[in-house]
Amino acid sequence: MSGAFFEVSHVFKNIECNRVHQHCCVNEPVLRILEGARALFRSLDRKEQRSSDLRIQAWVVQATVLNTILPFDDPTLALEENLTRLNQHCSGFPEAAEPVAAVCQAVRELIRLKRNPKLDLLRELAFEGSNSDPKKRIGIICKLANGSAPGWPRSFLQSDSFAALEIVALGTRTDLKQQLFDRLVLPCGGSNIPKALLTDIYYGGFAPCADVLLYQGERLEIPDCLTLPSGELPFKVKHFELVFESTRHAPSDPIEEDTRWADDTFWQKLHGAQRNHGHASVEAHFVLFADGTGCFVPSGERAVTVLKEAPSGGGPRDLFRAGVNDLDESTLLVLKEGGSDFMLDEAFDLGVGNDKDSAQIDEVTWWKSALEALLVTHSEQEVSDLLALHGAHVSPLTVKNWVGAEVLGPRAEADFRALMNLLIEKRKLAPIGIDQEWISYAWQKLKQFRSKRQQAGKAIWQSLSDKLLAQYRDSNTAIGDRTVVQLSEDGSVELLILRVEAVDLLPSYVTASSLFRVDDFRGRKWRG
Amino acid sequence: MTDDATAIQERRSLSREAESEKRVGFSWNELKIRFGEHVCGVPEWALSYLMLGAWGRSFQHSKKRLIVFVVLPTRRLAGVFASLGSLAAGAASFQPQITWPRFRALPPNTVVHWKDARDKKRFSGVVTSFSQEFGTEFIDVDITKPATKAGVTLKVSRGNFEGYSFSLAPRPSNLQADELVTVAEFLRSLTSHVDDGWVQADSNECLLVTNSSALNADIAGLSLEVKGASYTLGEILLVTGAMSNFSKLSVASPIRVDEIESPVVILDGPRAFAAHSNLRGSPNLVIFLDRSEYNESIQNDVLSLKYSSEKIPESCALNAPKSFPLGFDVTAFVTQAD
Repeated sequence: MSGAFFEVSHVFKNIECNRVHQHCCVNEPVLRILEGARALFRSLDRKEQRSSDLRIQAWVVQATVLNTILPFDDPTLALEENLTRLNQHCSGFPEAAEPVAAVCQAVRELIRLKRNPKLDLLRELAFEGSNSDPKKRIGIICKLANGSAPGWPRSFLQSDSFAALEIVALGTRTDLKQQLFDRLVLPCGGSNIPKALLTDIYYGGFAPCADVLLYQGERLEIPDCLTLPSGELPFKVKHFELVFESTRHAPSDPIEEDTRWADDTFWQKLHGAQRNHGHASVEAHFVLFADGTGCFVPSGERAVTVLKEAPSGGGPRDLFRAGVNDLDESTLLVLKEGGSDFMLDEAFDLGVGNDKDSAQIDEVTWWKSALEALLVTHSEQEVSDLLALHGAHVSPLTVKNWVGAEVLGPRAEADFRALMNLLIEKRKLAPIGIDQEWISYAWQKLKQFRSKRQQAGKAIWQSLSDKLLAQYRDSNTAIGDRTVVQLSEDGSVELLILRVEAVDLLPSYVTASSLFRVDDFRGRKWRG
Repeated sequence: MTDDATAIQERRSLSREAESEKRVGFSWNELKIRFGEHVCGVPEWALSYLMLGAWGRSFQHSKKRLIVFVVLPTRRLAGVFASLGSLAAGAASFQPQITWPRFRALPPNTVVHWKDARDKKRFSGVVTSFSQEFGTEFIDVDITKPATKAGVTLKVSRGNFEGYSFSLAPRPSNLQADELVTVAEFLRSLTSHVDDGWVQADSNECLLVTNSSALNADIAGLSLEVKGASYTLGEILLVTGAMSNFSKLSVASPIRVDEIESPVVILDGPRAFAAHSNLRGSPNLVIFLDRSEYNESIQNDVLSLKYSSEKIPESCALNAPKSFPLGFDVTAFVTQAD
């Protein structure tokens, strides 16, 4: 039986009745925590580094309360310890004393009351489901933030009390994509859930209904549904909309607390890289690995090498190139020990890139100095605008990349022609001897050289793939969180296979030499 | 360009557009899908994939290419059904002649037959050599028939190749051809327009860029039934022999896309989409993405494509699917071919 056909049919059925059911709990202490935290965040200067620890600690307390389904006195939540830390960080901030005191008082009330209304709601949903149909499947999202989500200790997921709920814990997008559900439960509003996972939850058709457990005042995060720009043909496309339902009463005055900064702060604390484009910096994303290490990988659609894991029970493994957006929790990333983008380096080490090639690079990129000269008097944005007048729609960043050594030049002939014509127009290239035929010739040379480099890349790719897969293909050998693979007898070529835990989707700007350099972040405080 | 060459280019353009305009009807509603013990008609979502694939294959223009983006709740099986649609449209619009890549690869002394598009006269000859002059590929053919022209060498360039309708002598049946006979039999159950020569021809109808192991897992156990006969999806798509010379549907991973030339390429997922710049020629593209895969970066690509797009020719709009089920987001552009 084709599971795929059955599942896809169900996905489209689910889409037909896509509902978001908000289960809103009115809880006075929680409301006071939200208000106290909001007052605290407002009173502190976000730019001041000193207050950062205090803000983060307040966020941890708030997120623990909002996310958890455990009784509030559960020792694994460590709420008392977190309150102690919050009070410690508060010293030196007189303006924070009052809101912190309000938060602490409300949390202690919750600890005293013990009972968690979200747990009661979840039990109701599980009971309601099993009563009407014992085969009903309910999944609960427990990937509530990058790193370790406050309120969801790992020990709880392995405990008997969680098993008794007969609910499937979904910790990754892969978990979610493996089966369909009758209900998907989100234990919180989702403001720190990775966007791709949220998009899958609300628009992926994995269940006909998403049940969101909210406290009054807690913000519900629904990602925008990006739609394709319309073309000339008037297709009759029915854009589906989420149907919202609510039980109890929906929050009438939701608190607009922007908690996104908490996620950003988590990453900043971890890697500390610049968020703004600086001189000689490249756009990159930070990848945190399961073994506690991490590294920056460049932005781009085929920037990293990924090892596809064997399905359970064995089967072939495979290597492919992927972009940051393709990386998921538990993806296996392959890096060369010591850093660097190994594809091209190795290709040139193999002799594909010799002196003759260096001369050829000069031969096909001779125009870069002219573009560089143009950028002395014009900004990248202005050059981008001028190119648009010549029919080439490229971003200012692309223009900047063309000047750099890491990019050979435009990838499309139209862009190349527009650039040459602009350089002639701006008198950065002497028009004598350069006509359209000559530009065609120059484009062909560039294209041929690029093709040659791609072949070189493919050659080394193939060679490394073969060697690596020879060791692991069709074997049931488990690949750990950090597996070192020797690809040469003398140990000069060594690959690391690392399991991804989380990816910072906001770009950072780092020096090229920082890329692929694996650092140990195990000691960092906010690692979780 | 000489007057003759211009005339041939124009004729080629007209003939391709005429092919596009030839609307081919398929009785998709006669098709049943069997999975395990369950049999059902073609659901609306699968029908949309079939029609998108057929549309991508049926519009062929020497100077333009069609690019279709489809964003879905899940793209599982989208490539499979779209490929089937392309295969059917390709078979229905088949004209018995060989393609340039195959022609180029013919060994010397291979006997070929052709018909001059201008005066409709028939010729035979043998391939003698392949050459490249001033960046243009030429194949020399020594004419053997008619006797009055025997010994004359015809220089065929890629540009004027299609003005001659070259074909090979029918090959003896082999296993691949037997399998394709089954495919043709299946397609004839859905439309009467499948030419006998299609089975023997080396035409590639569609390239599907996807993860082939996931593809094989998804189609396992899935059969198609029409007029009392049953076919597994595997035997219709011939996925196992996909990379052979005579396969109608090729399946490639995103890193091997430059090995095959095809009139339409189905790009299944963002990794496949990222490989579009490495494709051979300027094929039509049908791109399938999950909703969570359609991000701002891809949206920028779609927008820049929109800015460079042209008016969609009537012949193209004619065969376009008109409506889609809930969950489908579709847009299409026509751009200049490279």
